[in-house]
Amino acid sequence: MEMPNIKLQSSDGETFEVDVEIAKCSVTIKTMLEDLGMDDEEEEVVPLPNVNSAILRKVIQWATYHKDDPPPPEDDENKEKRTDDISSWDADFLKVDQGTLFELILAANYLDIKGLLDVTCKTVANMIKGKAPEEIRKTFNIKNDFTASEEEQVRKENEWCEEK
Amino acid sequence: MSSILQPVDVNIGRSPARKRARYDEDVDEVNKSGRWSLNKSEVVLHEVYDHGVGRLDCDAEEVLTDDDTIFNKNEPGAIDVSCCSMTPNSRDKQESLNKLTLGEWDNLLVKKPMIRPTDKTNYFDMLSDEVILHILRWLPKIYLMDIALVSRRFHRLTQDESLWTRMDVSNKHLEAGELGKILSKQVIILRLARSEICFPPILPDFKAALPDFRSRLLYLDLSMTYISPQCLTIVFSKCRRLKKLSLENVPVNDDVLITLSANKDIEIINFAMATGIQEDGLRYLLTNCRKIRELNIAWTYLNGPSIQYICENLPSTMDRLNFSGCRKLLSDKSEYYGISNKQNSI
Repeated sequence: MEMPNIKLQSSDGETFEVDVEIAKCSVTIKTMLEDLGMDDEEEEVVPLPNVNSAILRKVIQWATYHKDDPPPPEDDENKEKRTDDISSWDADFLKVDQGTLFELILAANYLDIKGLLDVTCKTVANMIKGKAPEEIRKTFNIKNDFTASEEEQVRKENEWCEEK
Repeated sequence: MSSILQPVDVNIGRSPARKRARYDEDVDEVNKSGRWSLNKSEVVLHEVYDHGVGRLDCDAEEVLTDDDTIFNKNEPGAIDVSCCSMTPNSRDKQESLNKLTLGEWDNLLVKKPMIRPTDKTNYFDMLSDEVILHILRWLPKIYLMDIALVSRRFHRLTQDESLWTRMDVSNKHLEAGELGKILSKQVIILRLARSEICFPPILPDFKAALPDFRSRLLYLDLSMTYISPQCLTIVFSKCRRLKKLSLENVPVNDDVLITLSANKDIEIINFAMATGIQEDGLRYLLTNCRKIRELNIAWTYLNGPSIQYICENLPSTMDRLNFSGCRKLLSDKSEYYGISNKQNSI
């Protein structure tokens, strides 16, 4: 059985031909296709003005690899979240510079691909984990905009968190 | 190609930021010696390619730090171009590369908004609060304190109630006031099992100390917690929405039960091995809380009248009652009620 293809157009005008089923891992695209009834139309191009070609290429690569995955489980607030369960393929896939990683987060959020959003967010969480505030600032080029007294106040607020 | 690249492969393994810096230094050197020079468009091409994204520019001087961890990984393609442009022998190749791709890069440069240099960019600025919270949700609470100290924005985001729905503070020693800080976060599910709570649990200066503060706590686990009845009374006075509570092996008194009875929707209470439960407190509890489904009063050594009272006033919603260890005290009548209810229990 032949799978129908769909064309996705990145913000910089590049067109990617993708299996519809793979494209539908994006809830945004899935909804768009359903709402617009674009299913049967051939040569239909879905514009994605918020995703550039470099990022869209990576998103398609990710979606293609994960096309047979079971749907990700719903968030369960009662369960402690784990970040040490990133598959080795995903870990390799996400060995990119920070700019690309954050653009992937933006794209996953915009395209509503929960699996990709979770794994990219977990990756950033792992980069934060265990770092002192100054190290976090350095890693992500964040400016410390607290006044000394504000910083002291925040420190006091959170004292209980310390391991005893 | 690879034989040409070999001499400059010393750069591989360094971050691109370093490569770029070296590249620029080298350019200066060769410019001085007058062997060859690069024109502006080549420099732009190189930088753009180096980023792999195609729309960033960067000042080399800004990125000369050894602990620059941003570019641990880079695309091999970027290394190739960088190396080509550094080797006078390969200038022809560089130019052909240039011709092949210049249009594409120009196109990208014109149409894309320029993002500030990778190396100094705070990429969190690109993300909405909602997306950052999505990241923070993956972190154990213990790390949220460090994150709160990073910047004002992060401090504000770490206060978001959605991050504090569930907290496990078991086996900890909480100094006076520290439980109040936790409650101020508006935790919904809180485990304090086997922790030690010092008096007073709530100190002024925190949200939980305000007279009209109402905790959102639904599930509270105080199993084997070292907490005084006085502390418990203060904590329960802040709670109205409790659904599930364990006071296993915790000393209570009438005041505790009376304050607790303000949680009218409570469904499950585990008093196993708790001490100090008396008729008055029970009266308040069973009168006000009519939605109790499960009650565990095993080994609480309740006196006869208390058991009698429970048996006669069980809420109709009750489907599990654990009386273990109280049987000796059961009178015939209370036993009848007890057993009829226990039939539903597991």
